Amino acid sequence: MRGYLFRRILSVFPTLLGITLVTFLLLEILPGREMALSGAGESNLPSPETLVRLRQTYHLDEPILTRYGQWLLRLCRWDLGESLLDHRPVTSTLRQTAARTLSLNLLALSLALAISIPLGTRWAVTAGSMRDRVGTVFLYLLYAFPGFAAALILQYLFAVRWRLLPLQGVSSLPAAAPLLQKTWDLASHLVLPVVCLAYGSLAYLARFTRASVLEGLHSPYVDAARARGVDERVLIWKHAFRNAVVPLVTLLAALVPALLGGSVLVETIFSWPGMGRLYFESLLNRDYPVVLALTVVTALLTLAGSLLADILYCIADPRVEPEQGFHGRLS
Amino acid sequence: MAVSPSLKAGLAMGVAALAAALFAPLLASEAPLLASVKGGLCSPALSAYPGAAWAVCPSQSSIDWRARPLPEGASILLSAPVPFDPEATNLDAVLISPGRGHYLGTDPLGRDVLSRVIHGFPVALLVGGLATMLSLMIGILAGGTAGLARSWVDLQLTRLMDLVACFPTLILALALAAAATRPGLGSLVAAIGLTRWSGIARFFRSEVLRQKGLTYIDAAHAAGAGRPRLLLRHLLPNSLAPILVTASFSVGQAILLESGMSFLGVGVPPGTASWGGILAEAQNQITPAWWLVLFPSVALFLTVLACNLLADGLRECADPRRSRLG
Repeated sequence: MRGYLFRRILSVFPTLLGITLVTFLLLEILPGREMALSGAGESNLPSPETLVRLRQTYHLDEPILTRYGQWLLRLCRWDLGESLLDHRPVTSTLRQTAARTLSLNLLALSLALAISIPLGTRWAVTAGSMRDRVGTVFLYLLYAFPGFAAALILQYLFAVRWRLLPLQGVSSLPAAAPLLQKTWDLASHLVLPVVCLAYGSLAYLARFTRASVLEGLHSPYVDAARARGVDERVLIWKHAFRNAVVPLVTLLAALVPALLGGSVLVETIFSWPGMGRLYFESLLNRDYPVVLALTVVTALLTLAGSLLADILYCIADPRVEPEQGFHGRLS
Repeated sequence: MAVSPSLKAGLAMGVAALAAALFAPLLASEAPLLASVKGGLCSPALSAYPGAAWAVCPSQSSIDWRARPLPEGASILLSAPVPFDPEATNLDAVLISPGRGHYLGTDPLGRDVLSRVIHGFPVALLVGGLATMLSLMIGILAGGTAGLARSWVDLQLTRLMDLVACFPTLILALALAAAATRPGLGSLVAAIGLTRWSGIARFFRSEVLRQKGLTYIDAAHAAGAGRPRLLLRHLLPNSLAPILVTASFSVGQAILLESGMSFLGVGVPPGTASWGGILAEAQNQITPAWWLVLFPSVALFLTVLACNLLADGLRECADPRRSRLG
């Protein structure tokens, strides 16, 4: 087990290097870089002299490998350059937005888990009953309903029609407002984005929990425990569910990229000033240092998620030594 | 063998969506299905299809079918069920709520929502289908090569798959779409297809590894089949069922990705009706128009549902034991 973990952690490094290379090359083919650097629009095209000066300032004339190497070195020192738009260091912008996005995602994930695990387990226990069937069909339909469309509908209903919740943003109070009021305000702004982000994984997780608990309940070791007279509730939670947790852990890692990608849409819809919205806006404005940093960081988060899942899997089930790591098992 | 209900439902809904996509120019168009111009019968709506030049009316381009009264000698015998073009603006009929005339209402430019939803079908299915075909081709090639090749090549290809999987699809697709020199449907298909192949490759690689030890592969190899032949003539047809399941599911996911990108404004080019585009217009409204949100969402939902049902139905056919639990 220790050998496997060691190899697994080592295997992260080539992927890490690959992530930076792919991102850098991708940004290299994005058009309109000089335009973005000079801050020019369609109307005021930069003069040829300005272009030459810009290319020199940003070292655009050097070979691509040199520039990649320089960028990589700076990345290692956690120096991500500064934004072309507001000239603030990217690292500080990143810290702010990452905190907002991660809190949103963690809340969403907790909400999804808090609902889907009891629900999925319950449905597995009552499998075959009318309620189970209706619930399964409902979850199936929910799973096919696109998250961002659901976000728009919920926004319309709760913020526009019934005026129960704020439409968008983080806060609608002045900075001097009392703390209690501010907390309440923040919470009310969080409700819709968190629900919409959780929504997509909710149906998936509940279906998965139901399937794995059901598989556990039908396995011989549960039959054996039941024959010994073990209490039914202990059977469900200690035997069947405990074994369903293991695949669930790996599933959580697979949800990381989905959640981060979903953040782009949800944050744009609710004007939540996080990484997703920043990424999209920087891409539109050709703010390359920010796009570069955000692409690398989201990929790193995904990588960290899959590594964590493998380690947890190994701890949860030491027998398993997956040959291909986390990804090999998913498919 | 009994056909599973989800396969039946998925097939029915899929065929309906396909029909809507194929017949969109006939279902929703201000050009009539059947008209009489200067005594001759013609079908201006049908002439929108390539190769249907025979249906064009004489001097059709000069006739405005919305004009009342119609020009001299022209009369509409049978108009389309939804007599509005998806792009025809009408500033006298802005944001009309659903009712007679405009069954699903109009958007801020006075365009008929039903017509736009119907014309969203060909766009969604085309982009979803072509992008899935692209990712299937890359995935099968990469996965098959990895599964059959020597361990070093296999390792590198597996690393590449893991690498691509590290980028959230929407983020990678947005960057690729932004990198396209000529934005359009082609680059959208490429952006979606290039982000979604790694899952298929991984799956096909494991399938190849599983089948590699089977005797029929040994027999084919002994009979002189090389690796390309093994891959295309033996391994691929023998894993067709699970590949179809993956493909069907993947079409739905690609359509979701397309509508998300169109919603953000970097998907299908402006001037093409798409569900994501209608939703984006709804988001930009100050006065809320629920019909702009609801109807494209429902179209999107039903199409994705059809793909999921089809995938699950096919899986049940191919592997009846496993699906009992799911």
